[in-house]
Amino acid sequence: MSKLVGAVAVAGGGVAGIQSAIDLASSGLKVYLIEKGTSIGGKMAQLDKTFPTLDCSMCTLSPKLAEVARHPNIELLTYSEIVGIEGEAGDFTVKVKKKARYVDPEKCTACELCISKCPVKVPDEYNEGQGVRKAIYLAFPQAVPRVFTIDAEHCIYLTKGKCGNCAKVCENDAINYEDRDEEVELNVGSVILSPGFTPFDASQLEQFRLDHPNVITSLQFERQLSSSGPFEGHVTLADGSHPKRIAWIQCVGSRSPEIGRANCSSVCCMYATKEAMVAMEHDPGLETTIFNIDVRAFGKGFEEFYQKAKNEKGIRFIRSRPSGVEVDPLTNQLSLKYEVEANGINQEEFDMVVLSIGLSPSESSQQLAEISNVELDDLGFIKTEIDSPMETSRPGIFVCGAVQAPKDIPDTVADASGAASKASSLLASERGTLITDKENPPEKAIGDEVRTGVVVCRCGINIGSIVDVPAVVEYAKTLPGVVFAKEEVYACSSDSLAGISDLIKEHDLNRVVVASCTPRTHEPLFQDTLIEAGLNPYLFELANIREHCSWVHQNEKEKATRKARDIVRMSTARVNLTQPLYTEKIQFDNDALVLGGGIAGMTAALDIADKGFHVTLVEKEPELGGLLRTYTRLQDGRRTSEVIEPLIQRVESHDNITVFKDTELIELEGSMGNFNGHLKGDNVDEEIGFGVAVIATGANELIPDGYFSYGEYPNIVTQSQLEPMMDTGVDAKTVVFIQCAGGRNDERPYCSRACCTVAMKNAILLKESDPDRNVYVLYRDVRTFGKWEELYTRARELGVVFMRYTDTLEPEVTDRTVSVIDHLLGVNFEINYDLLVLSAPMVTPDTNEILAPLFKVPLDANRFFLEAHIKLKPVEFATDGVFLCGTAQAPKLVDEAVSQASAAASRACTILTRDYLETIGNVSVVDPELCIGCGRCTLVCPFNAPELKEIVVETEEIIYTTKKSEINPTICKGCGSCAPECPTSAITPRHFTGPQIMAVIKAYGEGIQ
Amino acid sequence: MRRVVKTSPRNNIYQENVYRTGTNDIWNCLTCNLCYDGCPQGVNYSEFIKEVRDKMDSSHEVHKGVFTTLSELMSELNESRTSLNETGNADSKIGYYPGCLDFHDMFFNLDVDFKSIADSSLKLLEHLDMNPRIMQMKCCGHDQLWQGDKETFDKLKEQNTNLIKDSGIETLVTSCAECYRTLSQDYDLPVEVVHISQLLKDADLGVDSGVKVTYHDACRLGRHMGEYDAPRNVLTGAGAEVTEMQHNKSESWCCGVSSMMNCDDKSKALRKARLDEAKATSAEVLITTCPKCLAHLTCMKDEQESTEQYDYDIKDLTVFLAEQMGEK
Amino acid sequence: MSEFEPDILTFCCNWCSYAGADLAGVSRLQYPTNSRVVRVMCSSRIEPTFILEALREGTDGILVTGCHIGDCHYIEGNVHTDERMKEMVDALEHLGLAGRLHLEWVSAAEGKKFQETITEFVEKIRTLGPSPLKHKGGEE
Ligand code: FES
Repeated sequence: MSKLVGAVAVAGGGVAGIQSAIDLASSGLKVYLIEKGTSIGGKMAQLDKTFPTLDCSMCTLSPKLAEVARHPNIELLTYSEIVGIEGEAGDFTVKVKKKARYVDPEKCTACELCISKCPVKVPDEYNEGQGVRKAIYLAFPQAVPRVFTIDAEHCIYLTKGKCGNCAKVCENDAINYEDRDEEVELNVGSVILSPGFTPFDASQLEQFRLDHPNVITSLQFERQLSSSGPFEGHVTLADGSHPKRIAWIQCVGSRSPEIGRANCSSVCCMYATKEAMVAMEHDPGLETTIFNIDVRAFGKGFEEFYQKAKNEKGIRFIRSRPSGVEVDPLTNQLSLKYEVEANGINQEEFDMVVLSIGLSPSESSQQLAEISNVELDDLGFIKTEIDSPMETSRPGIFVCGAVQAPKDIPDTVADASGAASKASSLLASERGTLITDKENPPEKAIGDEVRTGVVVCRCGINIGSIVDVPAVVEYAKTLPGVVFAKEEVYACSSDSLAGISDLIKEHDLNRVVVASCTPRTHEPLFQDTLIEAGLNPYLFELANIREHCSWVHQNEKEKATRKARDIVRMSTARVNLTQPLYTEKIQFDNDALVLGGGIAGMTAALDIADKGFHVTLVEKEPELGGLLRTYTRLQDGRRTSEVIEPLIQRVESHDNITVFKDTELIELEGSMGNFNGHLKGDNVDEEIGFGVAVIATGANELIPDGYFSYGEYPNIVTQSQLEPMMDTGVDAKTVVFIQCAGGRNDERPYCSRACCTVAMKNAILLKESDPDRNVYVLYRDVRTFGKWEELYTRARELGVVFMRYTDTLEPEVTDRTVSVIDHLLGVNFEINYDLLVLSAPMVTPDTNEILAPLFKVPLDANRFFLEAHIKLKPVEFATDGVFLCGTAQAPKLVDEAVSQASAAASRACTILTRDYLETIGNVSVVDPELCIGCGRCTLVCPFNAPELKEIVVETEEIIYTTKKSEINPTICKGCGSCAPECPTSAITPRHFTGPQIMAVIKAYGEGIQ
Repeated sequence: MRRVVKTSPRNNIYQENVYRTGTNDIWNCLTCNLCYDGCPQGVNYSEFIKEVRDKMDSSHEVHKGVFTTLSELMSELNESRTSLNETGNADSKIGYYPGCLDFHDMFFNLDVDFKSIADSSLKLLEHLDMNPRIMQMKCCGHDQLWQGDKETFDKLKEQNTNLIKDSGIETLVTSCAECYRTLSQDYDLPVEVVHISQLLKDADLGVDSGVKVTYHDACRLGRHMGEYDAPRNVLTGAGAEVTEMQHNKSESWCCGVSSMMNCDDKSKALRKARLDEAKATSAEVLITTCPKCLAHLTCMKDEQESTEQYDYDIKDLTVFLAEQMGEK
Repeated sequence: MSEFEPDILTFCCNWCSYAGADLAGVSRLQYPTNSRVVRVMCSSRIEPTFILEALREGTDGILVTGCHIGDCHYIEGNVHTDERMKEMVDALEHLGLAGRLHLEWVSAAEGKKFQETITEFVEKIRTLGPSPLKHKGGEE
């Protein structure tokens, strides 16, 4: 590679692209995030809640959107498409077409005046065509960037040359009808493809009657559930009434080889269950039915969620696939015909039918693949290998998310960080070369006298037409500390920002209040202005008189004005007590520790080491390799040794990796940046220091003693015992597999995710090695999710016989026979077997119980490690600086473990690549004089920021040792939850101090008449 | 307190009387009366402190915690009361006042069931065939008085006095040492105020517990009111073996926090000393008669990562007795 | 004298309920003008004394809002809020101010719920009447 460029282009601004961009930008690389739509956020922004925790999707996503918008190393190119990629790994030229927006992003303040005046109504894509938007629009309220776009196709002015309303009303002159598409060239070292998926277009399957108004897609249903959706969260039929009976039809556009969509879409079973559950929460009388082939509840917490849905919530799961939707020609009533096991055909009426549409590769992603010159697989997804799931066929171009295979959010996020890891390894030497630090003027001393300036914004007519702005300005002048007040038409316009900067100098202001809109979008903007004027950004307060006042009190001008005055008074009271706050720079140790030398641990170690950091890899067994040593084949047919051996070799010969085998971590202290651990093994007794740790300690296959006579007869084995047998040839005419042996029961309520795929692979191998052999698979649900559905199909084609059993009617095993009730026929079958193979779940090693308290990280109900957020932080813990990957987190397949391992490495490197650890300004601090060391703060802090440290207290006569709390500023996130817990008020959450909040309350009190 | 911070009673009195300029030092005093007991001149420093504090601007000194604000609000609110318990026997001539136990349960965040003090007290009174009326009063105002907020105290006093008068009771029983001191010394009530230990001292509770205990004299019951024997008698009467700490009775040390002030690492030294003394007695239970002592001592004993282990229990007298009766 | 207009103080956490209130604004959902918002990073910042001080100031009602359980930006801050506010509700009952404190979870997507919560709470306090701690006088 001749030249390396320290920049990366990320194509697609859904949650995958966002995560990749954040990881890369936080590791010192310049990022161009290119999104086809007008806002980043992708499909996740459309979701109401996420399974299995029913978290609010937008709530968890929007902080990430804001992070992208604010990140100095990310350049956002929305409404843009990649049209060409030239060059090679390390040095690509990416051509991007920026579509004309017809709105100048520099001038648009998103005041929305234009929207009210635009006469054109267009079906709203964000709500999946339910409801309308205008021709000039913002994709959704939380859209990033907050810039309007004119939809040229529908705009009357752009199509017919008439109207022009938006330009007339825009007070900022932001409309530019002359805007033209533009092409830019970006020079980057690597490209990440993350264009996501397209929901399957169900209208092509006419039998499902999407033309009927009460047949909708699952994504439309999702919007209906959302309180920001078309019906404010009420599921609504075409006639405006609410349904009483809703059916979901699964696998619309999935598991359908006849239409070229053979794959399983991985997420539909769970989202349908979630949608049914949420809908029932809104309307407890609702009857919900989910028609499915298998319920694929394979992820972490999914099986438990499914059981709850079925057993506690009363959602009906019917194992049948209606071939279409029937519509009564006279009454227009919907009904479904379905098979009942052993009972013939049923027909049932429903008020609404939801089609659980699958995840398909989009046309534009196919184009993108073509432009990128990367290979696709048979299904149109971007092709990768099991051991390198983020690498495309073209070096330097990586892939993540649902364009690689249908997958859920956490897998997408892991992929995204993983892809970032690969790109950043490639460009490790170029870190920091293309990013610039902004120079700020020195801060001026603020003195004791409070000199507050207040700017009240009219926001065009948004505030000005409701609130009597001049009166508020006059009132503000009377408030304590205020030395200057004025109004602005748009406080956030660039000339007004410059004006604020001038005011600060002119009037020697040391505090600023802007009364305008929400701090959640605009605070950073004004804070930057303060910084440029030499004031500390914490000496600022936004008084929200738009979202919280003028917009919600449009018919009560007088009262709204009074409220605006109150808000300004409260904000001023607060700002007067603010103090400059500074971030602290702290030196730290940028070595890493990786625990576990399986494929996950080794991959994580290599990914970190490749970026130039030293890694200590600790394995408790005498050999590296982990669980894969017990399996001989991957599901693509390759030998595991082909993957694992080169990996071991690279790890053991890597300059930056020190391997300790037969060793365990037995003691640990410290926190992110400065951990100290004690390693102990037969020949090892060593203290090591490190800044971050990755837990990749894996899982084991359960020894299924007591299940299906395992251990009683020699011809009953587990899958991992079967694999080496197959190398020498299995001498058995009839082989029976029993799935879920010891799993999905009361003791281990989870699904082990990988076993179905492993069983398919082995069934195929057995059948291929001897086509005359009888292979039976006794299963509860076949969960070959995603692309692995292909194995299930192949196994059936090869003549493997599948028979379903239920948890209440388990197969019975003797030394030679298995008897099982076949559900399709309702008869008892007895199979004479030569070899019985049990698919036992993965279980956690005992060491989890030791490591969890050592790192102060939690375990879940099944004793796997519990990540910080099940959707968006799959490889992180709430405790900073500690990461996890692989089967330590939950059972998974090899490619998933590899993707997580790279992800953990990427997240870890966002810390290791820093020159120093930097704290946030508004951390909580403990006054050591007041602290009595009770330790209550350590109990409430979810991040383990407070630590009790031993000190000696000397009083006049008594000297004693005790502990006192100290909050680690590198870990504290400033939530303030510790402060109310402190019995001596020793803790001050900065910027939200007791006196500040009390002052606001007092100021509020002054308004009480 | 002078064992742990530099404080000079003499200087404080001098400054005040001669120059009328108080010093911040007056906020250090725990008003535990230990000095009064030992003063050759019989100077009642606590009383002095109470008076000067009232004259001083307390806003910066007194830690305005929940308890303080609650009492202040109570003095303004007609409907307020410290207990939501049933009123008990409304015709009884005996009234029982549980004090602020409910608030302790809400805001102390300790592994102590304060309310059980009231339940135990009622159980014990029942055993004495007393079926009291439960007094729905406001806070007695003890803390306000000693924090220097006489205005609030007076309001509370007036309201409580009226309540007590209207109730028609003749005897008012308290289980809290502070309430006892305040209602009997700082109020002018037409009724007899007793601490529950005084009622129990001769009673036959029918238990012979045999548990080894030690007793921590609460300043308000001990030095302020001179009641050292009653609690000890009740304990011995119930078959407990009472061992004394190094400092006991009139020499007993304070728990270090008085009137919800002064909780810091200096006064913690006093608690530490006290817990150590109790440990040295090898008693199984440390008994006290003041819910605040109970709170503060427990707070230290139950620290998250204590540098010292204390294996005994800390209990209120009534709870201990009621438990012993229950176990029988 | 016109009808009693309650004064309501509303605590919002930065990540969910404040965003929910913003969304109510963006969606132009109208609600009564009686409430004023205090923003904290997490609802778990709210101390019992804040509630008591607001009462002392004469507020007729207090709304504490935060993320739904499970959604807290700081993982489980709102679990502590829940515990603390239950205690405060109890304390208010002791003070004879029952019903004047209400806890409600509002997500960033629930502009509608924010609107409804304010509207309902204002009505509830209206029927409860002015707080006994409200300063006498004033023309409303
Ligand atoms: S951040 Fe909303 S409750 Fe914690």
